[in-house]
Amino acid sequence: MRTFGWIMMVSVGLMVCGCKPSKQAEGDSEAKVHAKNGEWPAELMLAAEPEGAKSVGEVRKSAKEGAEVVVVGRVGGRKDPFVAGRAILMLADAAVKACGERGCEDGCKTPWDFCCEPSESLSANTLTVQVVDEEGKPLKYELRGVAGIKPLSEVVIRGTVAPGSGEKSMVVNATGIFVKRS
Amino acid sequence: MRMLPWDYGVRNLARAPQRTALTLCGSALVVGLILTSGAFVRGMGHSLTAGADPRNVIVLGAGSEESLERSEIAASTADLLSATIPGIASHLNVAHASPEVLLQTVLQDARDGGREMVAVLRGVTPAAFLVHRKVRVVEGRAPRSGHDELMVGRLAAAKMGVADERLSVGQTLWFDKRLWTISGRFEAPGTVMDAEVWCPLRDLQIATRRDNLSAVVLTLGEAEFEDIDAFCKQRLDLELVALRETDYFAQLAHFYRPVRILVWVTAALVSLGGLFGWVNTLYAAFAARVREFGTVQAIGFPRRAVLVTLLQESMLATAAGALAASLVGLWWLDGVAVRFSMGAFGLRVDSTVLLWGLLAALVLAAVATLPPAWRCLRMPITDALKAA
Repeated sequence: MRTFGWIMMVSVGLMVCGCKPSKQAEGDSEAKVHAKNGEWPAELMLAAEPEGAKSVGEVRKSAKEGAEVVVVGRVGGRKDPFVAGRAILMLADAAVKACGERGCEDGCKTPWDFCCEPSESLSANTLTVQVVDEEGKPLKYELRGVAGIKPLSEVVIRGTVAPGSGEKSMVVNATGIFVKRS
Repeated sequence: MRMLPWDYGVRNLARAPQRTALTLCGSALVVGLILTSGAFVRGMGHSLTAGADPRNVIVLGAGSEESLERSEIAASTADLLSATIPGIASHLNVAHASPEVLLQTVLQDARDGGREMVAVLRGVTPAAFLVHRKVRVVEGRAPRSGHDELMVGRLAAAKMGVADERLSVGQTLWFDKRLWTISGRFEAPGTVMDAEVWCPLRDLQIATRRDNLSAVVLTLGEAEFEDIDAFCKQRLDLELVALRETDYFAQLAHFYRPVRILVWVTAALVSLGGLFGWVNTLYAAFAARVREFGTVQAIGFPRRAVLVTLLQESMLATAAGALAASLVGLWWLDGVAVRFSMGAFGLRVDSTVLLWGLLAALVLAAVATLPPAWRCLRMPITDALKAA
């Protein structure tokens, strides 16, 4: 009876240990994430802030397809302003107030979605930034976390207004990214 | 350690048949309650999550991620997505892209007045059958556009609070002051669609005076979810957001988590009440057997052996009650439709629920037995032998 009890205890203990993910497995997961993100183009992340940066709202009003632009803004505009596995993020005008910046704490868990901003105003003050390959397709790794970029990070983007951009929506193909404040 | 024979405990149950029967019935009731609660929780959870297809992506209006019914997107979205994003699943050049309108509304027995029945209506095109692969027409046929026809799900009657025969093929309902005929019935087991009423998309748009959609549901082929997400974030003018179907229903399941917790809390409180009554009964039952315990110890069996036998008796009786409750649950409870805000779901008495019921019975039996057994076995042997 006693021997049986010890055997049961040891078996349960082994089962519990087996259920826990090993550090080796966790390390493998991190390596896979880095491998998926790949080598970041060294020239893309800028050491100094580009000059002549305009706000997102100004660029949306004035820039045309193919124009070189330098735009400053905050990462945000949706609950998730990044695209997992793609070099795409959304940039909102720094003047657009996030939830909780309007003089009251509303406890919003995703203040960067700017849900308190009227949709027409948000639409006119948001654009999409992407890093593309030679064929114009977004690179298949994520901008989240690169140089500390996260929602509400203030960044300066140097790039070109992508084909198909117009009054209603604008995409900028970034050739340089400077993180002002992560 | 020297143990009492197994059949000693079994024969003791037969010595007091009334008490054993009461224990059995009490256990059956408590386990029945636990089975019902478990079936409710499992059924609701299953309908909200298991029905989701991991290959499906829902494209809906930005800001409406928590409710498809509030979402509005342009009518051209389905064609735009199919044309722009390569790799969406297709069959014979038909893209698996289903434009849909979803709303909860009232259907009526008569044109003016009559019984009102709350139903979930989904306006669809034939592409819906490509995307929602669990949907099967089991009777009649799919509704034709322009003919005021509907198709009802297997649990639609439960959702609407009417008899199943009321929604048989050929029956009629009033909606938007027009008479609609039920052309067919479908089933979508384990999904919320099982309680819906489907009609042609264009007919529903006309009836509700809207020309937009609630959502487009796509099935991924070679495309990845990130391709759809990227499209939505590149075309900010369309104000779209993409969600995996599994994520959408996971957030709905999370929304209903307090309901499931409340059900378990209620079951636990009632079980606790049953447990206290049970303990009270066992105190009296064991007190009447103190002399027997003393005799058994006097002839050489240790207290632990007597305790094990008492646990054996309790667990046997409660396990028998649990078995009876399980049989009733499987025969009567399983599949019973329960109405809730999103539609209806069937109670689910599966192996997990049966295991919960049995384990609960055994644990309650052990917990109920220990205090009175300890009280009786604490007594010195000489005092026990003198007890009345």
